Amino acid sequence: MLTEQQITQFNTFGFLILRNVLNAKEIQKLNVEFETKLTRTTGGKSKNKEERMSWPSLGPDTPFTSALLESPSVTGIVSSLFGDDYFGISCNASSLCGETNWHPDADNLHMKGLKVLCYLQPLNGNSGALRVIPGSHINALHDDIKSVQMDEPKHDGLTQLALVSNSKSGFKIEEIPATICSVNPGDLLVFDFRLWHASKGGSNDRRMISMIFIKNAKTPEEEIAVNESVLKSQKNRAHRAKAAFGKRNEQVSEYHPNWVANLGNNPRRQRWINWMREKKYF
Amino acid sequence: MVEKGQLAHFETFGFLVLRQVFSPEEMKDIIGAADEMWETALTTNKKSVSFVGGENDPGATSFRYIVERQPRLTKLAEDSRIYDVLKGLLGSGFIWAGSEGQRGRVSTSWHNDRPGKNQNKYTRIKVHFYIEPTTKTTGALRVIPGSHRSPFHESLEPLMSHHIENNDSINSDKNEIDRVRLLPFGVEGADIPCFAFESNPGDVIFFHQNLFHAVYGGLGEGRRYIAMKFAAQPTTNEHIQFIKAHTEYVFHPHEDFLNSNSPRIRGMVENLEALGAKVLN
Repeated sequence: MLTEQQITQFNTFGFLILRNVLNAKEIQKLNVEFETKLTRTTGGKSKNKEERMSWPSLGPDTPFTSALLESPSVTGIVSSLFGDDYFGISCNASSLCGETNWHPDADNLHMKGLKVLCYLQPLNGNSGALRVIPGSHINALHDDIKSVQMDEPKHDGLTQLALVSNSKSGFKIEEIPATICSVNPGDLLVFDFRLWHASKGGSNDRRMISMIFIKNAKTPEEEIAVNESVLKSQKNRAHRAKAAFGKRNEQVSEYHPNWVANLGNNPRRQRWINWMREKKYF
Repeated sequence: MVEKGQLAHFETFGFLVLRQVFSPEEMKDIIGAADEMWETALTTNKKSVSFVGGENDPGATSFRYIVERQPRLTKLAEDSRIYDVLKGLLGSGFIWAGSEGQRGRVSTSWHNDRPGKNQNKYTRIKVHFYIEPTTKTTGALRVIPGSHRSPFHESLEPLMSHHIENNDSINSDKNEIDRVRLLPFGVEGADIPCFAFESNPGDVIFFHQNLFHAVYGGLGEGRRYIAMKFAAQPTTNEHIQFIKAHTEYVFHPHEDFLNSNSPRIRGMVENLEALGAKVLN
């Protein structure tokens, strides 16, 4: 589905923005499901709260969002980049607020994975669009960034890799040179786990669907990287889901039994489930 | 003096921005001095002038030696706010590598100034002052952070090839599909991921000359900038060959600098002729 040039662009810069992949009706369906879930969170809508909320979206109450993980629009992108030997492991919805300091989702450079994001509102550099450091998914840049002092970040369960300045003399989020990934609803933003990214200027309740794909490890080093990533991400997402829904005794397992049961006998999903079972996702 | 954080920023991203180094009053004098040079360039210094605007602006010019020939601009080369930063980035004994003053509507596609194998191992810095405010869409210098370092540097080679072959003039006889197919990474130069140095007069950018950079966007009446070039002290034959490959004129510094009363200025040029002679022999 991607052209050769788009693949080269992704491999070189570590990310890709694909415009108008989802149409207005599809975005509306995502919004309806999102709104329904959001009203059931602890304390109601987060619009007035500075609190990030996140929940898994593979259950029967979010059928359209759930189906996105396996839709040709998305899997076509992933297959172009990873071939067919990959696993779709997560489809989450998030209501974001505030800023996120610079970080990569994976620091082990043997980790081959990517995120596909769909934002449900227009975003630019002043309203919380993702900003990325192009090319920072590989060395020398990936590791060099750790030597650049940054102002003390707000932590959000993210592994702190940046060099934190205790004297507020470090660079602020917006002072780190980056590409702003301005998007409109319907666009998909794809980025490599290892790419440094952040956001600044976002209002409360920025709505995002994020899907995670991991390429099957081929070497011992890649296997170690994958196992590290699996462990870290499970803890993070479980913590957020519990924070969002735990008090209302909602089922907070990331993987709804219906999805895992794979009642449609989808062979690709079954392969994913077998791998996730092996990795103790459930 | 460069702070540790600034050094890390330069080494990592290939450039350093300092905001409002020069006051509005100082900029007024700098602009006046530069304008005097531009106004007289074609009559008094024709050999030092190149026309660089192409079809966009046939009258756009680049004036070599703008700093050397204008005493009010020469002081920029030894100003501690510039000199001390360069000492921190290049080390002691850094050398002068020339200056230019450009005026007009000049866009330039993605390139680095010193292409060639291993050229990025030798640090050369260009210092830019823009005389008009610039934004991303109105002529600001764009850079790809970190692109001075290998292997990222080499992966961007398609941009350099495109710049050399086309200088961004896309073959108009090709259909749209073929035209886009020939673009590096399949996107227009203005859409290549980058950081734009949006600036106001008084801001200064120091950038590694192997960093990929470009200028896109509507240029209106045109823009003006002054640039000074410096290099680390060459300590190997390879460094000297690198200089010779792109800028042999470095070995023939302007007489006004050779005869300067300033120890800093003289220090940057006094050994260059001897170095050049060594290479040529």
